[in-house]
Amino acid sequence: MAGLTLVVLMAVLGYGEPLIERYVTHFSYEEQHPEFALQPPGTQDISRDYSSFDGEGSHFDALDRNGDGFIGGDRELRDLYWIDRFFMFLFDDYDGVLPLIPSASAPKAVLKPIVAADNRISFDEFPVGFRHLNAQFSAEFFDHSADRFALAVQQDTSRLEGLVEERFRALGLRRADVFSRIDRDDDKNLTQDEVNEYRRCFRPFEKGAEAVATMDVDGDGRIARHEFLGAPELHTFFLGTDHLGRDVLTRLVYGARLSITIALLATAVSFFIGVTWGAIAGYYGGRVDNIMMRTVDVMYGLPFLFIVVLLMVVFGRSTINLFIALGAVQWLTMSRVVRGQIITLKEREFVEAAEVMGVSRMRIVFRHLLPNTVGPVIVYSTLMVPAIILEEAFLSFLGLGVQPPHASWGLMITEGVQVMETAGWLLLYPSIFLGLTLFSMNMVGDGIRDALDPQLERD
Amino acid sequence: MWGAPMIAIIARRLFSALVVVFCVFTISFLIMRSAPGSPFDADKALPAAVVANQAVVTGMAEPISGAHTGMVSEVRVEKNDSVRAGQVLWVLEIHGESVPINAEEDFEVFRVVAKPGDRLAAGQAALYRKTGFFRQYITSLLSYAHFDFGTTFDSQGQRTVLENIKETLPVSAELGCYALFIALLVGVTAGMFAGWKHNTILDHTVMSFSMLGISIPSIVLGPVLIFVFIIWLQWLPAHGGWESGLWTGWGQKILPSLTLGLAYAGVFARLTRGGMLDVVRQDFIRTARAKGLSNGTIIWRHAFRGAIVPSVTFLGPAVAHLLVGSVVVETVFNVPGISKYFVESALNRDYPMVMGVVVLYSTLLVLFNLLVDFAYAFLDPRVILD
Repeated sequence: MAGLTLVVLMAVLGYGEPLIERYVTHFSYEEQHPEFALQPPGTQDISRDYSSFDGEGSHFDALDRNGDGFIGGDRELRDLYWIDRFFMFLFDDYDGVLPLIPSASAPKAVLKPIVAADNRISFDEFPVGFRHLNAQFSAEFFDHSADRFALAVQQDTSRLEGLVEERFRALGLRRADVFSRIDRDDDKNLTQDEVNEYRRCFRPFEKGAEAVATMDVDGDGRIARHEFLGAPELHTFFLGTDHLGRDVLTRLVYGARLSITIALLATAVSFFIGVTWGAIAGYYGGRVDNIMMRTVDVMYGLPFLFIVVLLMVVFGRSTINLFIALGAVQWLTMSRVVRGQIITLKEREFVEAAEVMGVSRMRIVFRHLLPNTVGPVIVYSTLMVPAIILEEAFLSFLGLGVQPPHASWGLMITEGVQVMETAGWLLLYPSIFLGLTLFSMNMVGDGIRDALDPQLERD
Repeated sequence: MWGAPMIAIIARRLFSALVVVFCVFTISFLIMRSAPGSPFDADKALPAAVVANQAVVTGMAEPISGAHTGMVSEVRVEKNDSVRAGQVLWVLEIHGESVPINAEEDFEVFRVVAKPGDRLAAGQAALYRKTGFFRQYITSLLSYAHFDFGTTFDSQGQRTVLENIKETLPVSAELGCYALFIALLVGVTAGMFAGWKHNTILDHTVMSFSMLGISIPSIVLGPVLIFVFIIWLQWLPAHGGWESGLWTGWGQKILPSLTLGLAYAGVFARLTRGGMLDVVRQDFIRTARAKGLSNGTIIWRHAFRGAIVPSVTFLGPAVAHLLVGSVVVETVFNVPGISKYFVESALNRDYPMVMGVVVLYSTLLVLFNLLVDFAYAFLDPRVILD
């Protein structure tokens, strides 16, 4: 019973994937957050594809830098862009690991080798000016700022340096000020979460004018106070992120949908071939039966996974080919089961009656005989679904199944194996999902067999 | 039982096994050759003569030559051209006289090796034609009949398929044997006790574990075992172990064997338990009990033979699955077994290697099924082979 619940749960999860993506995990399965690659469960970030806003009006003042009651205008947007960029470099690349460009005006304390990368920034590590930041950022910022000044100023390097430094402070990035505002718990250390929390209201402005357009209702190119929706909300990566910073939970659920779909379609393919084949062989008997069943015998001798591998290699690794290939090699047992049933059924009176009444042979097979074989066929089909999920996982593991960026459990396990020493959750969760699903599907299959087959002893 | 009819049965079975292998050969040949892409696509850097030579060795191309010696003055066809019968292929200059060489039949040009200005001896190949599909098929079938499996493309004809197989098959076979041993030892023992102590805690525990064993795929079990025993507990060597792709010492052998074996232990446990349940209800067991025999004697001397019959039936498919399943385990544990030729060669369009592995697998499969059928008849004399 628990098994059935779990199977249903997986199916619901899988097929509700678009809704789950939208409302539960808030991340889409292919959305990448490179700066959050391989982060453990519980890490938070702003979702790009499904952003939502907290409706907190107080953020407006931080964003309206010239105090005119509107967010907008070239200058303001550019300022917001650079603030966002500063925070991006501050945490994602800073933490003393990257080389700093020494500056004459910098106090020696900042330049000394900073404590090892502990993923926190202490006050000493916090940059005094833009020059103490990551080399890439300071170069970018310098070039950008220098353009704003007259040519005469641009040639005077020391004056220019001073002006750029001034602009950096004017952006509100003064050391003590910013530090105390970000450091919400007052422990004199900035953590990733604190930076994210502070940073999030600036985040939309990395897209510049596009950020304005999303909130600008009246179309005047500015965000007025009443149009402001608040800062984007942070969403949690409940099961961590993978090597591209994608949400593992979303991908698992997406994988559930793909795996179950492939399994169902492949089962349908093999069901169709197997039932037809077995029914015709069983009903017609004699030479037809002999030839058809010999073919099945021969195909039993084929190393079937090998044939699937060959088919996948030869006809391209698409998802459609995958389930056709899997289904095409799985119908053998089904046809034997059906044939056995048909042979015992066709001696029964109702078939004779139908024959006497002049019903066509095809009609007898498909209308009178096949409905009576439903029991064993259902049992066999339920046991085939987990078998196919397993094979799909094998193939994906060998790189022949589902192809990236799509997610399947087998593929995720493969990716997890490569980083299992540092990021165990990438192996753990897909394994649990796959193992549990197969376990419960097998249980359900067994249960149905026991229920439908009264001759079988219920041990 | 072992008289003349038995020999006839064996002969008939062997014949049908041969038919199966033949079918496998044909089907894989068809699939491989209908694939888009050719093994020679990537060989841009190699001279045409070298590529053509390889193609000839593997029966994919044939040389075309003229009957006269002379200087090539002009070549009128290019790689991949379709040539009609009677079309001029190249022109020879013999003692100041131009002699055109015509095509005798329709064909497709594989590679052209002669250049204007070359001296061409009589019978020396000027170009190579693609061999027709059917012709290729017959050629390879004949060479297979002579146990000549050809040379691999990947090694540019330096290594034969047989050499590759000889090098890697023992490793895979060893892995398979250990796995089968573990599966039988654990599975049959557990199943015997579960069946004997029917409907007790022991029974339910064994059955739950066996279901777990069946459900957890090797791509999950393998990495988990690596994680637990190598990375976490560090009981087994990591370096020089599974990362290096070596196959020496039990430190490297135990985890792959366990991974491969445990899944089948689950199946064997279920089958043995079922067989045991049938056997213990029978009269001869009651008789044995009545005689006052110890439980051990009854289980191992009387019930055992009947209880393992279902497991023996499953041995054939199990061996086949162990062979195929080992592909995944060998990939997970980086075992230098035959599986590396399984996917890689197919991807590289290394036709001879793929065909060699497919035919080897199916032959083994058929042989094991055959052996199992005979073992079955031996265990249960009521079974009549047909």
